[in-house]
Amino acid sequence: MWSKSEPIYRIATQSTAKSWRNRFARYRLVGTHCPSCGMDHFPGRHVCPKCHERDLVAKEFSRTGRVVCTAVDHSPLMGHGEEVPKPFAIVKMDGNGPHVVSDVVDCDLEQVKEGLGVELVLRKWRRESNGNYTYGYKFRPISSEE
Amino acid sequence: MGSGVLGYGVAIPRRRIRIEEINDVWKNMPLQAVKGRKVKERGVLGPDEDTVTLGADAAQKAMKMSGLDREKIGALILGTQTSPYHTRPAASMLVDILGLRNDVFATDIQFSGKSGTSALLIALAYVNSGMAEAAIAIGSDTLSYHVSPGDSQEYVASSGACAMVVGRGAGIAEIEKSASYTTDTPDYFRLDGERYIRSGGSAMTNTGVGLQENMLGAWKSVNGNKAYAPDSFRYLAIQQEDGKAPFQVGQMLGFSKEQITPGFFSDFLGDCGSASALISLAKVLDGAAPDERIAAISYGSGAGSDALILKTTSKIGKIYRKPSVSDLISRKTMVDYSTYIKLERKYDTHERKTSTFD
Repeated sequence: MWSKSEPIYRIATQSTAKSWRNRFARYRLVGTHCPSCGMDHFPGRHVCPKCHERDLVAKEFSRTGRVVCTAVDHSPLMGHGEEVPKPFAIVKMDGNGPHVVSDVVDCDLEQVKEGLGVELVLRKWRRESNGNYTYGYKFRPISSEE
Repeated sequence: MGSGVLGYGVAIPRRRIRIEEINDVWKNMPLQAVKGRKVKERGVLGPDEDTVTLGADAAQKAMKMSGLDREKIGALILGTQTSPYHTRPAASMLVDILGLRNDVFATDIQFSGKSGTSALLIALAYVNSGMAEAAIAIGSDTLSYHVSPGDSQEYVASSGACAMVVGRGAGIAEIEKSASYTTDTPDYFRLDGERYIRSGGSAMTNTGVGLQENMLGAWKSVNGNKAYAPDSFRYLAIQQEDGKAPFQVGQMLGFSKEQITPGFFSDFLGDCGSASALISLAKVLDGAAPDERIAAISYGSGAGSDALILKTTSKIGKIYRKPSVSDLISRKTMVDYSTYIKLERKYDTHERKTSTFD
């Protein structure tokens, strides 16, 4: 049964239709690739910003990458924070993939540094405006054994 | 049977709480009695985790180990008693999360703590009948979230998921036989619209009518006429509601401590519900050598049991089995009681807290 204490955020809250349209991007880092000029886009586009091509193809980017830049949220806004402090990072995905921003989970704060190898893991994101749950990518350090 | 396990994966939350922390707050049972259940720490669910995220993580790992192309999967069955939805299958989300074809059979199933092995039996039925070339069965539960503070189960309830990819051919472990046993026994239940699981009382939980009767029934059914003597098995993978029951029931069924210990994990993790018997099987497979026979028995309240007989093949020595179940259990962060209550959202509040923007 749902918990009353799980927040429905008041800013940047998507409708069900809007989050449905970006579900592959959230689950598997699916963006687009332009067959004309070769540019990759994440999030996916309808028109290539470089050459204005409209016939773009879906492309699933790598699930692993390296941390490029980190930050830590020490003071979440009232009604918006659950885990404090929360580290997040900009990650450059492998295979010349896009830069992606998300939380870094399942590790100590000290581990989150530039150069850390991470992999994509699915976690809960913000709920939709009608309360439905949404899932999307977060990053978890890859251990040396994997 | 002609089908086998091609890959497996386990996902568990990172955080743990010690039983002493819980006992310090409630003092509802003497600490010695709590320790007698042989669980020292149990998992604590993170605020961004649920049955779907744990199931997705386990399934990704299982697919990776199997080396199978995702196009080959014809069925996905999610076994859980703690789905975030009553209407709407969580399995359909997993189909898109894993990037499977859309023309697959996908469903959620529920049989309390044996939902995972029941999902496995359905997956095997699909593969053996030729209705699917390969299938994924996932057992995933967030029991810790659905057990009330102050309840005796709070000391053992945990969360976790285990996924098995099965297909034609023996894979890394061939499944030789499976059987089930079902009775109407209200030992633990949770009505529609309720958050916390309740018990039907000690006559249901402390006598043999639930656990012992159903597990013995399934075992007799799968090992009919004692086709295999207990010593022809190298391992027993078994449901682990606490640290004591697996050894008690296992030994009642004729297995020794040496056969039960390799698959034993609940002392530092707790009761993972639908994932429990499958995590035990995964732990056995982590350390198994070729040509070893495994018995796997689950239990679900309500009540029933599934039993399987498997045999590892030569392929098991050739796959990469890291990180192992033991590795995952040892990767942990301890939390105290108040943090656990905050993270698992066991406090009452208004649905919309007044935020800084108001």
